[in-house]
Amino acid sequence: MEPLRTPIVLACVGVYMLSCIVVGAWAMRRTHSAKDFFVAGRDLGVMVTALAVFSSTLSGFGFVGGPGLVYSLGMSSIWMIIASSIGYALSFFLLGKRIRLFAELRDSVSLPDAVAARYRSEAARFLTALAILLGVMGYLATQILAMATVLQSVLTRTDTFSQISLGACVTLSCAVLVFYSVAGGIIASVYTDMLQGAVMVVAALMVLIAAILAVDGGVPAIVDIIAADDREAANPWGTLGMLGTLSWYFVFALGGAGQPHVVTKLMMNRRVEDARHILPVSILGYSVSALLWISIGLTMRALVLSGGHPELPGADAAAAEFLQHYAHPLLAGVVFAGLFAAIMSTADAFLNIGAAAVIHDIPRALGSTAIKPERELFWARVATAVTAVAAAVFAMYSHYENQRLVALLGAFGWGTFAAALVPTVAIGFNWKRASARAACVAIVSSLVINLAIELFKLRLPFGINGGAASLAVSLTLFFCVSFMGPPPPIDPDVEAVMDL
Amino acid sequence: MCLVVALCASLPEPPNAMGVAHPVHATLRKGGPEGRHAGVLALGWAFGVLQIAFFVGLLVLGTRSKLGNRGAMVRVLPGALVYLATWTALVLAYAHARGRWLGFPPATAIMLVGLWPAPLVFVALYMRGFRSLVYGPDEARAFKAIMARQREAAPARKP
Repeated sequence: MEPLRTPIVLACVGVYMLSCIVVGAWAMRRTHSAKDFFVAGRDLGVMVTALAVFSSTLSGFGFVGGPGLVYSLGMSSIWMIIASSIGYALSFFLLGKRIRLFAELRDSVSLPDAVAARYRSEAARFLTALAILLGVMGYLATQILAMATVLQSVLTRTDTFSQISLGACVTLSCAVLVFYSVAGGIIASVYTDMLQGAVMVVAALMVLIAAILAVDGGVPAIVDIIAADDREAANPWGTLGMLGTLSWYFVFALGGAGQPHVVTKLMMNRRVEDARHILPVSILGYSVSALLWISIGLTMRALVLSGGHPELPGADAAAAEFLQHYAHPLLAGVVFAGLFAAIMSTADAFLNIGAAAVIHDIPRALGSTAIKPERELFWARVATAVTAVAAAVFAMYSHYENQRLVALLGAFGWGTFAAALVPTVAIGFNWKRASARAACVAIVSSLVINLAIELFKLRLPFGINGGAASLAVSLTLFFCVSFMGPPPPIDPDVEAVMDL
Repeated sequence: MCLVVALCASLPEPPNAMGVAHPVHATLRKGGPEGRHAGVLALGWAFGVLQIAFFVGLLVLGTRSKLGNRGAMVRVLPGALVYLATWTALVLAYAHARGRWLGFPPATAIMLVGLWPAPLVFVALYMRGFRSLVYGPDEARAFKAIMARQREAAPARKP
């Protein structure tokens, strides 16, 4: 079956892409309004929402960067994964009920809508939308670049496409993404997420078995090899050290409640009560999928250390090398499809909230009524396509001209969203004392601190993560500014919902 | 927590505080001697305890509207104690335990099968106690009433 490896991988990826197109075409028929396009008419079932929540959280980073980090740093990055259990619990305790009620109360179609309702502040709406838009451009460009790079690595193994350019791969992969995101909006996004989540879980379970079998003696032998070379790499803090890994735990546990593409999904379930079932399914799906991250990283580290596999060209090649050399062709096909699933499930969610920021949130914050509600669906589709094209152009420009650009805006990722939106949304939606000024200060400080850390390449002592420091500072500012002023006025209906 | 981070900044960093380059493999890092944590182990434990306390405080914040501060705290407390005990056991195992548990160094085993699932106590609480802790029939009725008042109010409010 080995000679058929490339055709099998291509077939799996092809079937997956085709499924996304079919879902997109189906979802288009169910999308009749901007409310359908952005929040799926708030009519999603438990399984769809749960799988959408976890698959949006696990981006291409989990399938490429994650195994690379475990390979390079040992156990350190596993703290990002184990943070998921408390992270999801925090998100649901703080927002599972609250954000769903706010969304219904004010007919919100986006997170900035809910922020504006809570704080009675267009400035808070604008800053939330701006933070989302900046983060979306960076995240989306990174995802598009990752998707194109993976597609290129698959296609160049064939005779026909051996010379295919990165630009052509960006166009090909974006075409599918844009089609279903434009046609079906968030409905296509969440139903493809469901498919993507299922593919990721299956891929992760199969990889776990293959990874254990790749080294004689299984898990104990893998750990023995790693510990014999460096005991610390097998210890819980890995090579990064205790304080560095704990800072990752902090930002990944708490930061989940500030990821707009994930939090927005909590506005879409049919009934408030569904949250109690969505939470365990999301945690289970994420935890199982993350086994791929752990198992490939540890196995490749053990194989390289024991001389069973040559040195990798780079840490991020760990997953690709594993699939190429230690996975059955069928498994490789499923995992490559899973990889596209991971990337596209995050990218489509970002496209949707980015489009909402462009046509809905920022214009409203600036007082514009240029887009009539009945034309919002049309402009939502236009904005989705334009956002995708802009991110693709940005990704290509950055790749060829200035590689720091994507990294710079990519840094406006998890940590920035966490520092900006955990205080504003996760805490502010539950704490009446929180003021609009405090929310604005938290958002601005998160943007400034994260940009400064990336721009000036600031290094914190003991490997403490910049996003964690920024989150700690923005939380402190949020509480201080809130306490410094008088209790803020809250609309009676919003206050009544906060009392529930 | 900011104080802990500031304290860290004031401590001298050992050369391998964040690991060192692997002498043979360019794509790998090494942690080096375990002694690198001698000066920060207690601080690290405190950092973890503060994180857990903050997380638990937020869980209380998310449920207090229905039960009040005290009621919410009582419901969350058992999970908090499990979480805290697991974290403390992990740090102690790192400092003192040797050998292998489940094929891993003891502290790593506690991290994977203890600390990772420990917050599932809160998840179980959320699932089983949803009606009494988060959103029950009384809240649903109250929300319907709010929505009814909202509809009656004219003109309809836009988001």
